[in-house]
Amino acid sequence: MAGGGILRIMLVGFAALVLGYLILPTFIVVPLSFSNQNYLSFPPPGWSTRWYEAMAGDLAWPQAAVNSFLIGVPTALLSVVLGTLAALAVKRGRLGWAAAASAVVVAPMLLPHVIMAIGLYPVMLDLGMLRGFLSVVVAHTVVAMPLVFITVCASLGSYGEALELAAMTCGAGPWATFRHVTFPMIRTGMLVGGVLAFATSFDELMLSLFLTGPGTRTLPRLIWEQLNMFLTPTIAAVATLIFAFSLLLLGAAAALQARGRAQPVLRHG
Amino acid sequence: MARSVDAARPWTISRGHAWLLAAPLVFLAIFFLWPLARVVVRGFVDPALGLGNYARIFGDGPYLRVIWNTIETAAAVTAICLVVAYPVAYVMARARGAWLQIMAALIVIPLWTSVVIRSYAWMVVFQRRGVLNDLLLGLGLVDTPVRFLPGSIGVHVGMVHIMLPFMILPLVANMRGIDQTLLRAAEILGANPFNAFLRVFLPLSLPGINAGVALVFMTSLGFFITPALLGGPQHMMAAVLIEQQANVYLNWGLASALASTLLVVTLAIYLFYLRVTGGAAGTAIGR
Repeated sequence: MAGGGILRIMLVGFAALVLGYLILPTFIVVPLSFSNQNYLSFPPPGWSTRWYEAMAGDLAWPQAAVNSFLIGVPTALLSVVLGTLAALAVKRGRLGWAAAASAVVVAPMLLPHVIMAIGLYPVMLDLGMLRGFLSVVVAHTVVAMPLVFITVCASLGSYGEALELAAMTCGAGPWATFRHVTFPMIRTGMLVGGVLAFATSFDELMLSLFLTGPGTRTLPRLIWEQLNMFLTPTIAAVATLIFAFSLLLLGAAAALQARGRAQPVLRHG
Repeated sequence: MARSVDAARPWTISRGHAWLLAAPLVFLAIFFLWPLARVVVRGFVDPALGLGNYARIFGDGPYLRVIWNTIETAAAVTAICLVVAYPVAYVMARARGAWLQIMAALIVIPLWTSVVIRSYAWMVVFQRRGVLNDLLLGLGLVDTPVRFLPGSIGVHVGMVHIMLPFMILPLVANMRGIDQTLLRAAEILGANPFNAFLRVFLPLSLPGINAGVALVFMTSLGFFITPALLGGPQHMMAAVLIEQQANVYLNWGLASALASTLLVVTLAIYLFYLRVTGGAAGTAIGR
């Protein structure tokens, strides 16, 4: 058993190293944003807030942030509606082809976005929607809806249909049953799914790259364009603010889930 | 049992509500399936009807090299993730209380950090005057800064960093369900800890391994941001090539044929993933 002890220490040490590697980029970007140098030397030789000032002085950043919200919020709402409908049908519909339906609903989350991007571009062109907000909202909903679908499916699976049956036996119609029985049970799943959908849209680059124009450019797209031109710590300042905002979102999702049921909060990278 | 209950309530919410699926399915048909169909067709008709695009791709040119490089990189990233994630998941599956919370937070926080920003951080690490070169110079291991970017080291380190949580979480979900008394039983019956692990624990964790491997491999095939920023032309991957052919060279026929090739490979792995997760798509990532 002494050998087991050493092995255990090695295992825990290895796990600690890996977790350090996972968190490392954050510990580089945040200090870098307060550097007083205009090159990316680390650790920074001195401190300043000049990169935050530079960011605030460039109107492109707040504009892109506004665009990201104008795309992310409708994406979350549309994803919640469509994802919940799909989850209800698959979990409560007694369909013979429920497995096939859920495979189709989840697929966009896992397929390479580049394939959907080059497919959606001509479709949006035909529909006259290209470069408008609606085209990106629709595209982001395709890839974000699976997250709502998964969280709501989990909520629906956490309690029996007997509750709904009981309501209906007592004379409630389908709509009353949904409003007073089903909805309160899946509300948390819908909210968490909505937060995840927003976060997906907020971080999505490839579809935005093909479908946004100068007026609808999102934050990831602007960061991307800047990265390909110059590597000043301005991007680190933007990244730090986005990171703080993401932590807020994560905290919100975690708090929502703590109220509901424990279930790890994930997002597709 | 479900059947008899069902038969007793012809009017419940559970029956005849397939139309609930109509809105999401119509939406996906127009904005997901139809675009995919157009990509596949376009690969055969643009610029001319025939197999011209595929002849170019598979005609032993630079395109075929990119496809192989994509598969190789995805396979390497998956293998590294599995080897690194397995011990971490093992520790995490046995952790309790505050330690479990801390580990979960350290795994989930990077997941919520933008992929573009994480790749940018790795650029800071690997650049000529970056963290790694400072360290190597400081330790006297090299005399002049090493040129890591663009190249395959950055791509692998960056991709493993992004995919690791997607390997750890399905493994933990699986390992937490393994009955620990089985391991004790094996030891009581005379297996040493190594044998008990190899013959009992490892086979029982196979569903988690399958789900994690399929998920990571499938996602790695479509990586764009990390190889584009850290790999450059030396380490080109399929998504970068497709984006470039479409957006820069306006070569949509070739881009579509390349995308169709990527689609076929990814769909094959998706079907495998659905099988190993028992047809319940997304369960391994959803909970």
